[in-house]
Amino acid sequence: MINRRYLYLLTAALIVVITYALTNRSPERPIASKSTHSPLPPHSEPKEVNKQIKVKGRKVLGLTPGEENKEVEDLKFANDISEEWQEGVEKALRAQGGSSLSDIDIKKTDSFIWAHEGVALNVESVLITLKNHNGEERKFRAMVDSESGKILRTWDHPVIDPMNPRESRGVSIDPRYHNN
Amino acid sequence: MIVVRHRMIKRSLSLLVTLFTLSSCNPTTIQGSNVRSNVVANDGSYDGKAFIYRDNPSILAGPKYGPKNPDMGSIMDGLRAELITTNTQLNGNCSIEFFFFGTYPAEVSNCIRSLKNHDNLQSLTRKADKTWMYEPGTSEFYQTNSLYHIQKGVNTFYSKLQFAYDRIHSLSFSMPKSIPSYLKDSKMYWFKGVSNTDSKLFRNDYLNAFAQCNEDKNAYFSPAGPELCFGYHSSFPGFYFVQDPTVIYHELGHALVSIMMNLRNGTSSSVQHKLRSNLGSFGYDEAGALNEGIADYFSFVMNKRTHLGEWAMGKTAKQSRPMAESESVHITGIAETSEGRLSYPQFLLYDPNYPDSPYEDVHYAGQIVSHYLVALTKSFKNKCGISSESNGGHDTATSYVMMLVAETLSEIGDLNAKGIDDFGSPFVLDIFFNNLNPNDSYLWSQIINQTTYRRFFQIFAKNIYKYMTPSIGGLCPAFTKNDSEKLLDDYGLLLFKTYNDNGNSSSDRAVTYTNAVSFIPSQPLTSVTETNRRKSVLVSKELLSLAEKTDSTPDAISYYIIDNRSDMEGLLQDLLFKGLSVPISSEVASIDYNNGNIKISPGEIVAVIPNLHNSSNSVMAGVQLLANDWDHVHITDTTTGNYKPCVLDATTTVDQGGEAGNTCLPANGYPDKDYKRLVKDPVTKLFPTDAAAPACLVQLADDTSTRWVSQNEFRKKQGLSLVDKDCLGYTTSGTTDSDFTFNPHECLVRFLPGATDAFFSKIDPQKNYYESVVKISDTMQFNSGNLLLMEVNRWIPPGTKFRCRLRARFSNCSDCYNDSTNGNDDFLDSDYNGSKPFKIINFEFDVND
Repeated sequence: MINRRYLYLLTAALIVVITYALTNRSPERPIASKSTHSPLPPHSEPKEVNKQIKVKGRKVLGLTPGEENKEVEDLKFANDISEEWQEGVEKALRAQGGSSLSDIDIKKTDSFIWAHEGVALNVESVLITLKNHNGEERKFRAMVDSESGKILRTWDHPVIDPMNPRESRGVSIDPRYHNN
Repeated sequence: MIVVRHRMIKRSLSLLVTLFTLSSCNPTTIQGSNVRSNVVANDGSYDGKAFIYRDNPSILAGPKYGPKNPDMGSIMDGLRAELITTNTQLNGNCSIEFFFFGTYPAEVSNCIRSLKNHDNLQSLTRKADKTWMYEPGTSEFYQTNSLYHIQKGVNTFYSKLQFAYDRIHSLSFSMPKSIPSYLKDSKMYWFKGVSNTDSKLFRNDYLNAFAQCNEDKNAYFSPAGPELCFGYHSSFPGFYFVQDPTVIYHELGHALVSIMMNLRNGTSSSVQHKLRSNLGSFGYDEAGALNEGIADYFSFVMNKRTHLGEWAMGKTAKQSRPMAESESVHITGIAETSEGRLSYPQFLLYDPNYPDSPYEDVHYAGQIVSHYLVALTKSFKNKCGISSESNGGHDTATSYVMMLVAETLSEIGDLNAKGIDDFGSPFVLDIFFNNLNPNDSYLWSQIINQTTYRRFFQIFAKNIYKYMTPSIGGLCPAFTKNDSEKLLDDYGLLLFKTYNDNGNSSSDRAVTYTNAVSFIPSQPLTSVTETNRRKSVLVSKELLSLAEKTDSTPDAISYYIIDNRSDMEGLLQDLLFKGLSVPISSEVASIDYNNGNIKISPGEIVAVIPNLHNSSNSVMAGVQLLANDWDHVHITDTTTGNYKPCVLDATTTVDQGGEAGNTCLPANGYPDKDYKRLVKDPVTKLFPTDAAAPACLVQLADDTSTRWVSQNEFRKKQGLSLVDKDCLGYTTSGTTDSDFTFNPHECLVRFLPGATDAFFSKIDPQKNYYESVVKISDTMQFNSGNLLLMEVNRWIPPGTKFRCRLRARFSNCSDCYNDSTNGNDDFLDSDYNGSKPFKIINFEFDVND
């Protein structure tokens, strides 16, 4: 009888402890691990990686882990930073888009230094918004040369879902190819 | 008839109840053709809520309803108001919990913003009565409904991602995993990577949803916003894409694909890769088709229906899409049997609404993917003891599938190129197992070794084998490796020989996972059971070539040239509007020189469509053609960078100036382990000794011989003496990124950066691409994904001959992916810098007026 009473007390105490633990768990300080987790691996200290090094306020990307400081000292810059890069971007877009565009908007979202094999390039990451004469709008991202405004890469282009895929613009064959 | 009557009764009852509900306790004015109520004070039970439509009008009001000015008041569910948001503005929140040795909740507040269109960027404010109830058919009503369905989709996705994360990270540490454990820190579970952490002026953690976007007959997802856009139909007033929740789920599905593709591309809250991965490009390609198929599948995840777009695409364009073979729209013969599956490549061009009119498009090709994913979900339900809804059948089975999709896309889109992680963080060493290396990973993952059905389903099958089938720790041991392979084969998707369990060990086969992370052992290679391969036919690349005129094929065209000025102008404008900016040279080439003679002439900018021919007796599918720089030369002089082309096929021989030894031999490091262009080092002013050279050689005739040489060598001989500034791609603004640095070896002709790869859905046996796809389509048009763009220098002497060494491979190729000398392990990433995985396609032409 006494043993059973102790058992009840022990169970109640356990419930209190578990409830306390569950209601007070901190998001940054885990209190327990799920039983399904495997044991920790042999070495488990999280390492600091991709240390963000900056030169003249610009993040430097592309450095070899562990060699960052030395590589930054040895970097040779391939371009300068010019105020006119934005004009260069717009000129390139106008050259390709011609009269089809009613509006071009170029927003700088980041500036950084792109290091590759000892050569550093100042680049701007931009968001480009184009508008046509129907008022339709398209956005994509681009990496541009901070000096010339030359567009180096574009990405994040839109995924278009037309009501009827058959009405998408295709490329017609010149009738001279198959005139028979 | 009975069904229709039943539906009408149901609808009338629904309306009566709606009226009753609205008149008794509805807190606001709701109007529709059959609905009207007065304002009644909100007693608190409607806080943050609104009445919504649960499905599209074609489902709720019947297939004959609409499409002009639909009465959304009669479509919406007036019985039960739903929570739209607890925020005071029409924004949603995203929250997820990660379990990694503790529970870590994560939240992005205001992660979704529902707006009318691009001209109205101010979120709606909650009404004074604390509800979101607006008159049906108003802009506010659509914005409210849009947020409801998007929030529901995001919540569902996060429950699936949380399941995937918890499950994967509860397994042994020795198992290589792709979804990173540090996802909470990197915040890549939302659009963190596209936000600018330094500027408060331009904050775009939001996913903007434009409920009434200014797009005629279009909807889209734009990752650069990020934004969702739901358009209208100019011929039918009041007809909007947003009225169809299946399309909302589909577009959101694209956004979720974008998130899953970039899960590995950030390592902490402030460190992300400089670029983002996308799944699909500008025209037809299999990556884009996968994106469409997965987005379709997400609609099934949300509403359990195996059909989408009955209203938005089906009502006026007859373009709704099925996701199961049992759907009645399919042609006879398609069935949920091994023989009847919607299999690859047979149904790549199949439009179920117009089955006699095949058409190359990512949405049609994507149906193979959605059908497979739905069939897999059904298999999991049957095999994993979750067949009934009482034990969570649909929810559990779709969680399994979404886990596999997330883990697969996470690996495919990995731009940091490591493939696996250390405990709780990325490993530090400069070793890469995926997409070559962080600097070239975008080029590798998006173009050179881009995602195809083969790449996706190989990784997907590996993940089934890792997470579903093991008897210990597997989610569903009853779904065996054979079951998995047979289902893939039913769809013609068993396109690989091994599971490539060890990654692509990017440049050295001896480097294994253990070298990077000591507790992850080297992974043994799992082979596909060959007896499971019945429908998936693999074909040798040697049977692919350019089409040629012969006695039996007198009409064959080797390549098509588009040089008409207005066509090219329209094409370049169209590509730009799709997001492809191409760097056109100034002064020496322009569309002003285009003469429309369907030949390649000096000064022109032309589109080239090589017409590939399949000499085998099986279909070749997912044919990719590359015109970018690659390692195919031996550099003989580092001051000029001049070279001899390697002898890599029977076309370019030693007699023609080819090189059969030196750096053209694997023993001497061929191909290069790194991707490096043949441009001058800005410091040493020398060219490298090993590099990837432009694809096009030029023929040089001197007194004694005729040789294929570098364009740099040619331009200074033959009396041409072209200086740098008269070359294509010349820039005065100094050296830029090596990929875009002035390269004198493409002084005369060059494929424009960004437009150096073409994709073709399929080529039928003993036919060329034109015959297989274009000729049989109604429009007789090429897809913009089929073409390469080329610039031609205006100073080229007429009659000059060029040979461009393009590289081709295809998804069901038997010898494009595996190294038979290494147990059929997949080629290394660096092998894609050379010739081994490809068939060389020699595209030859003269430049003439």
